[in-house]
Amino acid sequence: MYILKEWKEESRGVGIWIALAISCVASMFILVQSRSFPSEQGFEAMLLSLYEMNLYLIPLLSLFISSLSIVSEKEQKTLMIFLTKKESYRSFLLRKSIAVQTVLIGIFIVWNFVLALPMKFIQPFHLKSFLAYLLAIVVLLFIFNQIGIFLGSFCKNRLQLTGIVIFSWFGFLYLLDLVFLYLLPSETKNTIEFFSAFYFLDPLHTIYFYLENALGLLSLDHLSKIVQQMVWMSPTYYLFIILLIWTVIPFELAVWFNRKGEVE
Amino acid sequence: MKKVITLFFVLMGIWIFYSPFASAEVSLQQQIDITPANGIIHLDNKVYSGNIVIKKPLTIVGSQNTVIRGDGKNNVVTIQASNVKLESLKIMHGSINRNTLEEYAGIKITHANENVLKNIGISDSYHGVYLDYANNNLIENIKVTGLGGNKIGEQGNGIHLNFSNHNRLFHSKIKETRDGIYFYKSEGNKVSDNLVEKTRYGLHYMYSDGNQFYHNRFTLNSAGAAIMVSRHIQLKDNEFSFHEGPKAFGILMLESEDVQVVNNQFFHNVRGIYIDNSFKNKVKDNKFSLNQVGIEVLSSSNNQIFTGNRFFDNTAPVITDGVRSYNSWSDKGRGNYWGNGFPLSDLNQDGVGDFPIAYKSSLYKLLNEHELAYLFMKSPAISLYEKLGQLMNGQDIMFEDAYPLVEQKTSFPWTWMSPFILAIGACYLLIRRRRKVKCTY
Repeated sequence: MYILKEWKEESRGVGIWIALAISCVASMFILVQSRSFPSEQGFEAMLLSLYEMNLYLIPLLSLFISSLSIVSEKEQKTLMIFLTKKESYRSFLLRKSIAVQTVLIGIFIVWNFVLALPMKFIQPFHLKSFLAYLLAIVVLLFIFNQIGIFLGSFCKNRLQLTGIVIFSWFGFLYLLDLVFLYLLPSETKNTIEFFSAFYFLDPLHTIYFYLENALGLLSLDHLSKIVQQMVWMSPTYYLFIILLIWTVIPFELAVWFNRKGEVE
Repeated sequence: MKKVITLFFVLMGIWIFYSPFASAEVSLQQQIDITPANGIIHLDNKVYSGNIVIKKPLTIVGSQNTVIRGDGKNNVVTIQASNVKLESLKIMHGSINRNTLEEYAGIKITHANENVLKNIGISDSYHGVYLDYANNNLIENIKVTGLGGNKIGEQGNGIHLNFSNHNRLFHSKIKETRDGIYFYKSEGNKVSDNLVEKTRYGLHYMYSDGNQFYHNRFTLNSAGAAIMVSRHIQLKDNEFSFHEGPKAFGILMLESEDVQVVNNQFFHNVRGIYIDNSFKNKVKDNKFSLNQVGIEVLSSSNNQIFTGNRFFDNTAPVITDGVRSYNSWSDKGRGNYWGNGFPLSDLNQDGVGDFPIAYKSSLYKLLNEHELAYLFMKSPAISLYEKLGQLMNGQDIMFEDAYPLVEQKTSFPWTWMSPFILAIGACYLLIRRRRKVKCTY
């Protein structure tokens, strides 16, 4: 029921279609640009460029769409109706999360398979690489949808939500790395593992690292000692650990800091 | 009964001591020994035992599955004579012993000239092909496969030239060895149309002058080509791609002079070209795209000329160490094309921008301060970091191009993209129409 409701709401709204349209136009430019890539590994380079483009779009779009989905439940008082039907907020949030994730991830998976058609005309298609790219996109969507659900649960109104979503997006994309960049010169061999833990806690770093490795563009075979200290686990493990962390923590925070129907 | 027991032991003895290679082993070396000079030996589709030593001019031609297998204790094939030709062979299981002065190889040509190695696969050996004081040899269509993975450092090089001059290395593939092609005091060699991938240095190069490299592809190595202490080298129409890692580069020029880097492609490297303590090199008409740093030039390097190069979507097109050096970013009124990040006008339409451009950056400090800085070079925050550097006067001039080039706009490929765009538009209209129909009902 939740999934069907979510699909109807999303498909009738403009948010998801605007998101797709932006992704479509940006992807076209990447595809056009990638015609000049070298033939071998050109497909992988194209996927990496597409991912880099999505790095700007997906966090912002999924934060907005998923958080607005929760805020709409509050504004339309449907949340109150759900909660009076012997349903706890945790149970509501779980069902809502499943619905939002299914709809948004489903739409993006379909879109990426559509995009795979022109890809085939540009570079030799490698299914394994494409699936790795798709996994990276799905994990990126999943994490930022979950953060969006937390923000929607936390915020009282759309205005507040807009501000927090933009700040979160800016924080993930720019501020966190800026902090890392200013901290970097003070890092020594003794503190590098600590630095590594924080570095890979940032989903944008981990997913990119996983994708580069999965596409065969980054080898972990002969790294310098400091990088070996930094990377002490397989990129796939890093990916699933941050997926777990960034699913559970925002969900629990959303349950604890919820403002059920506190709409201004 | 006694006869039966005796027969049993005789048969057991034959079974235990019989080796399918034993007769081939003897026969191959014997065949070589009994074949007259300039004779031809045709080998069957089977495994022959090495190791073999060739001391006279002759030709050995294998079939599709002819294998010469060494005993793992020496070179599999040693050529000590000139005018030897080996063709269509698979060579394997040479010694990988490193505790000796002998540099073992699948094929070792030593003090011999004018030999030909053609259509040969080499695996499970320390070096693939080793040329030791060997001149004017032709090595064509050789495939050397190393141990790969973490064992790269435990083995030798794909093709190793030691004091070997005027050789031709064509159409070969080298994969997962320590260094792809290694030059030591070897001059006048021509290397073209080779593929070197997943090695440490694709090309490792010491004290070797006057060599030429055309149409080669170096990819997915720890580093592309390290050219050290050498002069008068030509690198033309090669590709250096996907060299990732903190210290990785497409080409390193260290203490090198008069290296001509012309019309190469540098794609997806941490650094396209890294120049240290080198002089009078010319970097012309190359394409640098999607590298973290296009060209890194240290102040110890002077009198380089950079002209006609095209830079696209690199995080930083040029990085220096912030100290002024004397390199020229244009030649005879022709600078470089710096990409969309450097908007230019060209009112007189002569292909050269109407004003000079200078590029300032603070990234060099970051890159010099910590090895891990490269992890952030693809981050969106880098542009913000540069802006902050600009606001806080932390930037230094990386290059000044008096004659920046203006690239002609490429047109959008409507012919093959339009059906795709139309299909998406049609889907959208279809959905809208269906919705309208539902609303009407």
